[in-house]
Amino acid sequence: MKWLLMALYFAGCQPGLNDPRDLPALDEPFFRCRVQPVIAKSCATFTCHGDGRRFYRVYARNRLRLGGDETTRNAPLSAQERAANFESAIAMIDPQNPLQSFWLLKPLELAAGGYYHRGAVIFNAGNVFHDRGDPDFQTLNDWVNGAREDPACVEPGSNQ
Amino acid sequence: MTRLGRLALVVGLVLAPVTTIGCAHVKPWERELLAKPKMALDGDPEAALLEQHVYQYREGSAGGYGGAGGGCGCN
Amino acid sequence: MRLQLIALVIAASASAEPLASLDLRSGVYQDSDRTFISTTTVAARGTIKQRLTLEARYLVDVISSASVDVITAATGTFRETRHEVEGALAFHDGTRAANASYVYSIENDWQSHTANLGFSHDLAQHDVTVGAGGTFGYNRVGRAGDPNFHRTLYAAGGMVFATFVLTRRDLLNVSYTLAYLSGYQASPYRYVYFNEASGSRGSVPETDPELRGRHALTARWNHHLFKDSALQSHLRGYADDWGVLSLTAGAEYLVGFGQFTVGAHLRGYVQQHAGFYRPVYQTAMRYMTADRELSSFIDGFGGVRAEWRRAHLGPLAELRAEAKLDGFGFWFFDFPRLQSRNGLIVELAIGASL
Repeated sequence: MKWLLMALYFAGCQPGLNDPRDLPALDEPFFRCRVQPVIAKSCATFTCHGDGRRFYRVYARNRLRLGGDETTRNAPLSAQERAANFESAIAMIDPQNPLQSFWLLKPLELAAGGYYHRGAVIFNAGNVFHDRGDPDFQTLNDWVNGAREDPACVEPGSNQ
Repeated sequence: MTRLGRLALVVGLVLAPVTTIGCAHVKPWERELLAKPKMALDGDPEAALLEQHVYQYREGSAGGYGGAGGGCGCN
Repeated sequence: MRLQLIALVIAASASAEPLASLDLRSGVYQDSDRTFISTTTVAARGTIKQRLTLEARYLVDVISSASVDVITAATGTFRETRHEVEGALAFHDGTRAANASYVYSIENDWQSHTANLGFSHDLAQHDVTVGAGGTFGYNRVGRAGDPNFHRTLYAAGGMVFATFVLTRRDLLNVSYTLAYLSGYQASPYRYVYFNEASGSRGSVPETDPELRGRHALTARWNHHLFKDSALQSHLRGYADDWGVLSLTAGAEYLVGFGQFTVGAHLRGYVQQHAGFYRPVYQTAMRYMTADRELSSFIDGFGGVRAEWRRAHLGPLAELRAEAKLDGFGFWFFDFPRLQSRNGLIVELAIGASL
């Protein structure tokens, strides 16, 4: 038995199995000031991604919040919530094929080359973006393509 | 020596003594027991297929028992 | 995705091949993780001049599952059907055997093409049989309901084996299987949680390495006992370059009572998790999986079967039937969402030869 296991152990493991993830170096100001308003408007309802049980979760004013109570639900996002939204979106970008990421293509209609999105089916109201010409889809696409924004930009709905 | 070379060496060392076992020749008229269906290594292909079907789709290992593979996504 | 294996026909002893045969087998699987699978296969074989065998086989799986994977992904119960067809050709002349087969499989999110070749040769006055085979598979991976998601997975492998007639009552088979997979091997339905720097919990789509090398070393021993019984045992060691290590051991005892054969079998399996598997990911890693089949666990299968064979029944050379019942249990050591799973498998089969 020892011989058997030794023989197989010589197969070895491939390198890099425990490497940290190469998160894409996407622009935080662009996300904060341009992308976040889109996902707050289109993705953050309680029945969609404004739900802590979803794999992709979005914090937004008057929607899902990280702590607080009903009196603070409409307060501007905290730094922690902004960071969580940014990290969640970055994690959903495929570092090898960013333009094929679920985060970008699931909210796009199938006919426009998007991926199947259960949210578009269960509510029977179509997907978030009808086609690639949608200005909000363009915003997300620009971000994934590496667009940058002035770090001093003002996030809509914030108290900056 | 490469990793594959070490594997081949160990497999060879394991199998080498086994190759001498067949030296005691079993004559054809002594093989009636070996011909029984109970002694077949791959008796019923469909039974083996369904059995390996169950194991492959629920365990992280595969191989070693033969059988024709189609692809089950099971993803 | 599971490994494409190799079909190998081991050269049989000089017994008469039936002219034609038809076999139907149907089984149902039910486990405590709310998965139900019904599998039915029908195979037809014809032999020409005792040397050439043609085979056609059809298999259908109907799967219904509300397992912990499905519920975690916030979808309801899913149902799908998989169809598989195989065509095979085998030749043997009493000393050498060769075979080739093609398998096509399709379901709503997977399409597979597999080609297999095999060869064996008897040596040492038929006391030893050596053989080798190869397999190549092309898989197209999709997502249910998604016409735009496409990934590919290639699989290639080889197998070498040797079978030894040790004594009048003993057969020993030793084989080594090597396989390489290249392409998409994750699940497009699974996401993996990790702890974000912000303190929240984030998730990423499951990401597995694109390459996987797999090795299996197996020994099988059949021993004839007493008047009409046999003990079949097997031992397999497995390792791959994802870090999965496993050991499989099993035995079946078969006893004949005239036209009937009854058997009892046990099989045990122990697996060490893949190198990149974590029950909980503290940070985002390059490879992340929520696949419990890559975790550490043990499983056990045990059951009984009863077979009936009647020769020379009217125009039929043989009529046969079989019933099989198995119980099983899985115990997961580092998969938080499921600690254990158990279930039953029931199979019925009927066949006839001319």
